[in-house]
Amino acid sequence: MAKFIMIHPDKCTGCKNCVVACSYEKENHFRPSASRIHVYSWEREGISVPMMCQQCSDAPCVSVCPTGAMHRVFGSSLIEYDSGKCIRCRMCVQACPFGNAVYDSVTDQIIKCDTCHDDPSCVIACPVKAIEYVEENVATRSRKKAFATKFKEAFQEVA
Amino acid sequence: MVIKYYATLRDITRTKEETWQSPTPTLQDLLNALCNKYGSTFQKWVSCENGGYGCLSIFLINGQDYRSLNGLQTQLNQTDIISIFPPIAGG
Amino acid sequence: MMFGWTGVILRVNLTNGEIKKEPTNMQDARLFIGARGLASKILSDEIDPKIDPLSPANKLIFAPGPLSGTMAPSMGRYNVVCKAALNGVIAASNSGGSFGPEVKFAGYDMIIVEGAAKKPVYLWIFDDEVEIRDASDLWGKNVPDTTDAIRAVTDEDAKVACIGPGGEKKVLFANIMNEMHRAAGRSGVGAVMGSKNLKAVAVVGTKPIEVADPEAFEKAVIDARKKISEHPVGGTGLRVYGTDVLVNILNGVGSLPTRNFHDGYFPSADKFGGETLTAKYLTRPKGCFSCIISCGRVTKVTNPKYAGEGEGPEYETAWGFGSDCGVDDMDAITKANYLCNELGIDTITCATTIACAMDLYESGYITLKDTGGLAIPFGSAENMVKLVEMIGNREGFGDQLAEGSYRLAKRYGHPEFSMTAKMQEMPAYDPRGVQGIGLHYATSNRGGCHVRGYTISPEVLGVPFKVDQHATEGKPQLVKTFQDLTAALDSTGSCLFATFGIGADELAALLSAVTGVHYSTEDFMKAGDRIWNLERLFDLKAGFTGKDDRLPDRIMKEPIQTGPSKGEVSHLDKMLPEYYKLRGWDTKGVPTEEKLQELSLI
Repeated sequence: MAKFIMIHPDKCTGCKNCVVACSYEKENHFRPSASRIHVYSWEREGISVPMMCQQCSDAPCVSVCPTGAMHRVFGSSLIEYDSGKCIRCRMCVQACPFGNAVYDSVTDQIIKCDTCHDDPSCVIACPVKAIEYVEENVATRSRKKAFATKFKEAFQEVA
Repeated sequence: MVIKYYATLRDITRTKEETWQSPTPTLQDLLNALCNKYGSTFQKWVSCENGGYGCLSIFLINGQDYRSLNGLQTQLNQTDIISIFPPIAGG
Repeated sequence: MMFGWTGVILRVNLTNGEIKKEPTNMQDARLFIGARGLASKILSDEIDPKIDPLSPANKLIFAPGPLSGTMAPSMGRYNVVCKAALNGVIAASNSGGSFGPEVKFAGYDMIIVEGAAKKPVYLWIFDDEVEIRDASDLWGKNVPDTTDAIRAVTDEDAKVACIGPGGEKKVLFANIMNEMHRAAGRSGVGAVMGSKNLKAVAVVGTKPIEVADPEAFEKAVIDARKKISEHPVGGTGLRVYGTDVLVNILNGVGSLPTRNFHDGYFPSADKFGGETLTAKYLTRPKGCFSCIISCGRVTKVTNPKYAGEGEGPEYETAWGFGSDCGVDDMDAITKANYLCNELGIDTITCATTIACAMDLYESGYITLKDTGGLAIPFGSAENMVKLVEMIGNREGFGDQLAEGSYRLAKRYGHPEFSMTAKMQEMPAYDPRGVQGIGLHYATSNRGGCHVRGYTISPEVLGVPFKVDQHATEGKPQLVKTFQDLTAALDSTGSCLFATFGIGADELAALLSAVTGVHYSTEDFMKAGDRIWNLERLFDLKAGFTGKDDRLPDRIMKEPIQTGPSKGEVSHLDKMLPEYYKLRGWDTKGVPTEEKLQELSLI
């Protein structure tokens, strides 16, 4: 079964612990602009949403990559980036509908989430479990159940 | 005797305050009785890691901290107001 | 390579438009750490403490710390340092969010703003590119609208610190707001910004902050995070109920100042406590940069009369607009909080100045003629909310209140009605019911203030240990220790709430690992002592003396009337001489030469 990073904006406090953890894991210093995860906050509404590579099954970044640098790992749901094959044409950056593949001029690399090879630092750093690394069907099942619980409670109140 | 609950203890006891009439001569007796009534979640908040009560939770008897009175052995009267706070902070 | 510190200070002169980048003095950085400490050192060196705080001679320093921007837990704070508009002391007003870390990511240890612009401007900083831009279109806009407008023409994710109408009109307790809802609240730092015609500072930073000893740092972070998150109050209590949970406990021990400190107990306090806030107003908790506590409150009022959305109230605000004004209407209290944030004024001084006006009104010293027809006995929630807007815009009677309670009470011939220490309003813990905090209010270098020596922790909450709130014994040492620890902590970039879990040991370990400069626990505490004395020297040179280390007569002579602390007054006189002695000050409260030498201050 495949795992993926599930976000829960309802729980996100906008603290950016995930952002700093990612930058430290990947670049050994604190530089949010090099983080593979970003948190956008709408201050008027008080809502924050974490964003990172979704590891799309039919990934535009892979389709447009002329050298195979951006590729799916065989037998895995992970999309990996091979810096050696990359010609820095930034087609992947253009193609990603979420803006989750980014060219970093400091390191001359494409940066995007690789789930820290199955052990994402951002998830460990999150103090409120607003991002979780979970089995795909388990994740959606518990979200379904959470909504079902709300129905149940509403039903109980009526009854 | 009136017992008032605050913060998370209101969720656990499902009340803000209650009138208490059972005989509980000391604060220790009262806490024993309340832990029996409300179970382990309540007990977790009011007790210490190494057994006993208090540590970070706060018990006030008529607004006086139990530690400045006779501690858990403080005698209780029927007219007392007991306030129980789980560990809290702010600023 | 620099570790923790960036090694660069940005200096902007608004009078002549000069923008300079200077190396950080690393010897001073080691001694004064950063943020509150290092910026206070620079301010003390560069300005005459006797200047008019609203003159171009004052400087305004935005200062994060060496730990800001790292993953050390709860490091979202920065300090605004200047000579205070409200009371002429050295101000270091502390705010959270992400603005402080962003200044570091842009490559600066701090931003020093000098002089004054001829017309409204804002500062736009994108790493090395720094511009002074015209802000004529922004003048008059409130905080959220200013923030949005600046983002629209700079960067949609820029971190913006700005003033609202309060700062523009030099309300003496105007604050500086960043990211709409976070406030550098006290001392009137926003009025100083307004006097410089500086509407905002907007920053985007993309540079790295390096760590000297990654192995030690990771260990220290894991340790600190664990201690904070496993602590019952740091880990869950604050996130669930926010700081407002204190209303009931302070009322429970009879130390919730009520009706301008006439009393210390308010029977219906539960109506504006954290439990009520959580049940009826809270949308979700919010956290500052790298925070694992998330005490911030995103809230909403649905009552059409006071409808709004925003953040807060925090405990101090709920108390100020609550029991101190004799009000228990949480809709009105929350609305007053939103208005303060939008207008950019300090909730504590605003609320307590209104309380002072209510007190003067009830005593007949202020009449309907003075207020422009507004009846303001204690408990008038609706007119309280109206007054907030009038103060922020300096309209009508609000113009008089915009000067703070000290000047207001003096104007009407009754300075004893002002509940201030060194002309700044005392916050939400009655110093008659809690003796140590009274000694702290009286001696705090920025006047009445709770966040520089929060002895409420041991005196009321029992964290990390419990002492008797009514006792005076041992309090001078307790106050000194808390003041020193907080001075050092504030200088790292840390939030005070981290101390609900960690202390000097953990902070010294984090600081050493990040900067590569070894700080023992003793070094760290000594830095705090040094910073405290540096601030004291500034205040003494500004004209304050030991005679100003006092509390209002009401606190010294009029006992609390009802509730559990009934009959108590402050015993400040019993504690102050011992405090001076522990500080190494003479009997007049002046640091001795030996003390200053010991702290490398001369």
